[in-house]
Amino acid sequence: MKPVFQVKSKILTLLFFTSGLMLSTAQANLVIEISEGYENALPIAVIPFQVEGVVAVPEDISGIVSHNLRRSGRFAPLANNALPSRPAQLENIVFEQWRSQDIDHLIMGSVTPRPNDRYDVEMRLVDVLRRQQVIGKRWRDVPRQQLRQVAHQMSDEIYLELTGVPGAFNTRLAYVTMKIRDGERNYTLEVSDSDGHNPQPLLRSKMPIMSPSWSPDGTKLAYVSFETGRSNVVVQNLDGTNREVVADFPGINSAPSWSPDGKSLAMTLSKDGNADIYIMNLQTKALRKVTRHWAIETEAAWSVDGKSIYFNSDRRGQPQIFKMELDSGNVSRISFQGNYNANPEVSPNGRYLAMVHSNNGFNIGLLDLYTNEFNIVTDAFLGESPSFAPNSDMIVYAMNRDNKGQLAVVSVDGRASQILSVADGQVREPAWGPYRVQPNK
Amino acid sequence: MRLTKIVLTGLLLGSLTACSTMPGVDGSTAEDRRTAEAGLLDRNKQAAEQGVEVLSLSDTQGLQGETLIQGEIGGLLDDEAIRDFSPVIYFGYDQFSVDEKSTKILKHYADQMLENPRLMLKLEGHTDERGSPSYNLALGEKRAKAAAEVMMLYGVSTDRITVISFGEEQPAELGHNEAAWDKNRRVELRFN
Repeated sequence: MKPVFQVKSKILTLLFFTSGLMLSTAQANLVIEISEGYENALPIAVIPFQVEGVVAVPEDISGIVSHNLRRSGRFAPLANNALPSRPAQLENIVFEQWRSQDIDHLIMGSVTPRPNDRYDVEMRLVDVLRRQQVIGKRWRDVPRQQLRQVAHQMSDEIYLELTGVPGAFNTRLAYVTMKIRDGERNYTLEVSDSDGHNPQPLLRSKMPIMSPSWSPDGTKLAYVSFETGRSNVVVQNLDGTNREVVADFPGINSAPSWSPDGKSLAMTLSKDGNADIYIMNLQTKALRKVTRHWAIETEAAWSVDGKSIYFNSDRRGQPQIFKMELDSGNVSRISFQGNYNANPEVSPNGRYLAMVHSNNGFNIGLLDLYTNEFNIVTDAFLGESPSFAPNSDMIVYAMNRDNKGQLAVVSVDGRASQILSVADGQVREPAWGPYRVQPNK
Repeated sequence: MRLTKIVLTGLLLGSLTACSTMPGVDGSTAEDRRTAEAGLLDRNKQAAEQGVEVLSLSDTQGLQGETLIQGEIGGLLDDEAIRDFSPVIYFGYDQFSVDEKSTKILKHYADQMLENPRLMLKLEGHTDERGSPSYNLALGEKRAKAAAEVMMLYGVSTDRITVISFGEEQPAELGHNEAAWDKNRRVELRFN
């Protein structure tokens, strides 16, 4: 076992306290803290976008792009006061200025207000070495509330161009917050943008909410609610419609996981005596029992091709990860390092298996399914609930810091990390949603 | 944990008996016997290192696992050491076995239920916050079911007991240290 987590000499301790000014929602934003980045993060210049006309623009688009690039850990955008100039047009760029600052790429653009609180946005990515535009793109008539989304789309395209990997900025997180008011626990299932902005509640309850799981098309969430006093599995559209309790059997109803084709839900039920994994056809609600064992079997995660599930079983005395081929029923053990491995999660590209790993303390372990190499990628207290970004580059997970449940994001190589927290409560059980727009790679 | 030890002893006895009848050991030279004994000592030492205590073999021969459990519980009844019968029992880390003290507490409430036939019992299983929440939900259920089995052993009928798990979701103590975790690995007894 080779821990790849290293303490960096150069730590980017930049705190971005999101101002509540632009949003009038009652929900508190998740606050992002970028705690670690790559030593060799790529210098880049994001020039503040030119605003045409006199109307103030409600979102700082270039600021959002710059923040996204920085929190990926792979880029080190120049501070605004370190920019040698602020060209607005391609022909105004003095390339030598940027070469001498070791800047290979410039991002520039403009925002033009239109009637009815709509905006045209332009963005250009310029290669300083080749002295040419690499990306030039315009978004027309964007409503105010979608400006942030446009900034995230831009970031995704820039990230793809410069790293070869599609960005996952224009994606969402589901998670559960718990706040104690007047001695009462208040649970909320929320969905926010991947940077913690724009949090929207999907369910509030005085009883626990657990295990949100995204449908592959990103339109629904399955989760566990204790609203009846016991665990139930619920499926709900993101717009709040078609809420349905799909599993309310005697015993526990838990750990829902959507099949890659979106037609079935794997879940853990103990209706027959002890916790086993079942697959429910969501159309017919027919159940198929896939594990039969006296031990605890739970936390099913589908392989990318939908032909196998990874799951957690304590049949050997302590939780370990196993894999079952659904056609043959063949079971093989997958995790061999440490005395506790639980909650397997498959990366969307099929390469990695993340898990809650413990030898001493709890962290996120990552098994490379191609090479069989195992690494611990976090250095957290009480790390749990890993979930991959749709580009398989980052993992969001839950941990505890300063006596508080917080979310953290780490790159699969363990090098870059950021922390998301809420001001007045705990955040738990993150689930990273799928792409909102399929990347055209 | 005495129950576990005695059962383990039984298992070890079984394996030892197998050893002594193995060809080449039985009726063999003194040197062979010494070698065999050294092997046994090695295994005992190894077991101790793995945290398993190997107990005496002489007096357990022929005992069945089930009678042992009955006998063990019967023995507890005379013990008046515990007078605090708070309706909650505690568990070891990642464990769901009911220890002696908890058995006495459950016995106390089983007696009350037998005296008051209208009492219904809800057993709520909980875990500490460490590890995976969904695994903990299943573990909490195992704890509540283990407690339910003890209640049934003392004569409480199944249909008077409801088992529920909250996993790590409803800690009794909010701290994030061993002291809090000890208090959170529990089954609460609720009557109505």
